[in-house]
Amino acid sequence: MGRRAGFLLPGLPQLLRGRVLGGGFALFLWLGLLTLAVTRFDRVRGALLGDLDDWIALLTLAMVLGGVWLWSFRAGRRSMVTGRGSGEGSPGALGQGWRAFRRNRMALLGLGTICLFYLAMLLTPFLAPFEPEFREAYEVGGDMTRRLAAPSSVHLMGTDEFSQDILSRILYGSRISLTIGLLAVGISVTLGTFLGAIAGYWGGLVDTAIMRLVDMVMAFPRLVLLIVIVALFPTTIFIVIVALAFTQWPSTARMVRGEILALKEREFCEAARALGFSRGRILFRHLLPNALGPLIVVATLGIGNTIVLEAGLSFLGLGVQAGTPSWGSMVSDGRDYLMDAWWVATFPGFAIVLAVLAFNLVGDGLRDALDPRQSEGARR
Amino acid sequence: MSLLEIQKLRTHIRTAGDDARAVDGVDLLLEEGESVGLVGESGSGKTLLALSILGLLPEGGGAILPGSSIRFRGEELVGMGGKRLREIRGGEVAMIFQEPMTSLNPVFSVGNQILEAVELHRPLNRDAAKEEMLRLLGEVGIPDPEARAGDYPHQLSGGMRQRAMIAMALAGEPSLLLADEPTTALDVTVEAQILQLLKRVQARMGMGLLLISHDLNVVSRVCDRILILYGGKVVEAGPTQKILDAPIHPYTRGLMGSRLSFDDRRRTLRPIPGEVPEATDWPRGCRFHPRCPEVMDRCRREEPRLLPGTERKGAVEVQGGAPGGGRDVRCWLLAGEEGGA
Ligand SMILES: Nc1ncnc2c1ncn2[C@@H]1O[C@H](COP(=O)(O)OP(=O)(O)OP(=O)(O)O)[C@@H](O)[C@H]1O
Ligand SMILES: [Mg+2]
Repeated sequence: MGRRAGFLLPGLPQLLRGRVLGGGFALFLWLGLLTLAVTRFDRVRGALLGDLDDWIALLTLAMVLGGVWLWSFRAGRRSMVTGRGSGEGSPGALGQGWRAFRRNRMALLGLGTICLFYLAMLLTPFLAPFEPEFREAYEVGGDMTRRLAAPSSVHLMGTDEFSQDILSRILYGSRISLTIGLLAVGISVTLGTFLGAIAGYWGGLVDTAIMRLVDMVMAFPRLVLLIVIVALFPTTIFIVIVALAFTQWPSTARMVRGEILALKEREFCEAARALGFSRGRILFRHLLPNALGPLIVVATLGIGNTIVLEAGLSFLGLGVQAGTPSWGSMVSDGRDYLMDAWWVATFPGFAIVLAVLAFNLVGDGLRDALDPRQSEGARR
Repeated sequence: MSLLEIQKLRTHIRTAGDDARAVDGVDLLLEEGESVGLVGESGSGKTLLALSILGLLPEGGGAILPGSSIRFRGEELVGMGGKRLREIRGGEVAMIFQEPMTSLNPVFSVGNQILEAVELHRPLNRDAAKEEMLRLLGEVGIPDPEARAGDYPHQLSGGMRQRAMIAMALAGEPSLLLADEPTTALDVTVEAQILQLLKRVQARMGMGLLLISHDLNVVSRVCDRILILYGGKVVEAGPTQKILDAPIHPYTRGLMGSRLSFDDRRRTLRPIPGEVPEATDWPRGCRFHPRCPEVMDRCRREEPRLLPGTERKGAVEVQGGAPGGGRDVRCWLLAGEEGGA
């Protein structure tokens, strides 16, 4: 019976078997996306002829629907064979970490929130009730009452001074905020890991050179350095990402260097050398995977941090070009109307807080799960 | 040509103060298929000797001094580097370490780690390498290799981990295996099994074996010849049976007294008094003299040389044996040796 229900309502078999979180989330996703596809059918169909954004949204919709269905179906079948849920079989460090992570409700909540944020970002063309700069209709028609309109059934989060729908702008703005966070951290973690690993493993002059560079970058307050870089170059998204990455990598490098310094004293490193593996291979294939736990933690916390910084830059008018919606610039735009139109700044601010909170919850959860040393220290 | 020929090996370690003269002039000969034991207390330089062979000196200050020579099948290893050295490491000369708990990488399954070693040293394709990995797991006595291959180190017992380490060492089909206290961290029954395993694979593969231990018992169960190391120098060397039957050097006798044997429970444990001094300041004269029960004036002044010998001066308990007898001793008590000065 459970299996047949899984055909129609993915997640339901898991839900019935007591896996409330996984099953509930799957069911919620499935029903939500189906509802979206049905109520916005014209847009979904129109996306076939649309541009890249539309196609991405279309693909996301199809893949998530299919993925949820497949997960539910296969997990259901596996649990019939083994009597246990999925993910029990991997005894590696990351497998263990995931099992510990799963017991942390707050972290799971954060993870779910992050998934929903990114899903919403990808599905923006279907979700957003209006275009981000949709205002002509009102202003041309002379309907100035839509200016700074309070939240209503038409504009769920109200409108701003240009009669633009806030919800739509938050959705479109998430592309800037969420992608920049991800990309900047991706670049900085890659760079920081590479340099930190080399510094820790090779030592000597290489170490000194890299670490002095780290000290130099870290000697400046991050926001000051950011402002200088962004002010020096024409502000494009690219520059903002590079600036964020450039000011972030030193802390990762420092962390990775410390990990590698400790790891290379471990006996398995010497054993690997005695087996004839080259130094590069030992560093990147044998040692670095042992530092993966702390790295994931640093990256996750870093994304939250970067989202705030980007918002801060946009708030100061130093982020992406004016007009392009981004959460930071929306808060900035709304601050003049805080007294009479609180919704203009509040909702985008809320989005920032929620996203950052979610990343921090996940980061802390990962730290507890993957990096017991650090979390012990934190508790002490 | 011998499998391994070490001459006048001196490995020192630079420290803040004086250099630690950890290995200080060791000669060692190991023929193809032979097993030699290296025995000495903690700090006598055993590990450093083995690491020197593979060129794995501690970073920041470990150095093999000029004049030392380590030849593997005639090929000089001292000063060698690069690709050829990496080929030899794990290929022709493999090493297993003392701590099976920490010598395996915790984030990879044991099967993976053995497979990586096989792929590095053997020209096999992926499938053949996998098969070889499973064969190795079976060879070292791990039951149900297919299932165990996916296990991570923390899921295995100490004995099983040491077996996995041995499998990794065997992956390159070495002709010389350096085993640095492979059983010290294990309990007695597991120790016996591992020693038996080492003996078996050594015989089957015709490997040379350098077995390091602080326990004379362990080494005597496996090895043809024994070298006793003290203070970075060989103090006594010879065939296992001769050394067990008639130890000459007071240090060897001390080691015999401090060993617990199964067959002789009445013998009481008599540890050697004192400790091995720091390698940075060995005492003048014979390095063992501060702890030696038979110390003489001369021992404090002059260092004895390593010389062939069969009897102790004025001793009655040691008799016979052909002159020479393949035995070397470094002690002033040695009979027939007066002209050391
Ligand atoms: N990395 C190092 N730095 C400084 N001194 C060292 C280092 N490694 C070894 N030594 C010194 O060299 C000497 C010999 O050390 P070694 O590890 O070879 O002894 P061992 O016989 O293997 O002892 P054990 O039974 O404890 O393993 C010791 O006095 C030790 O203090
Ligand atoms: Mg040692």
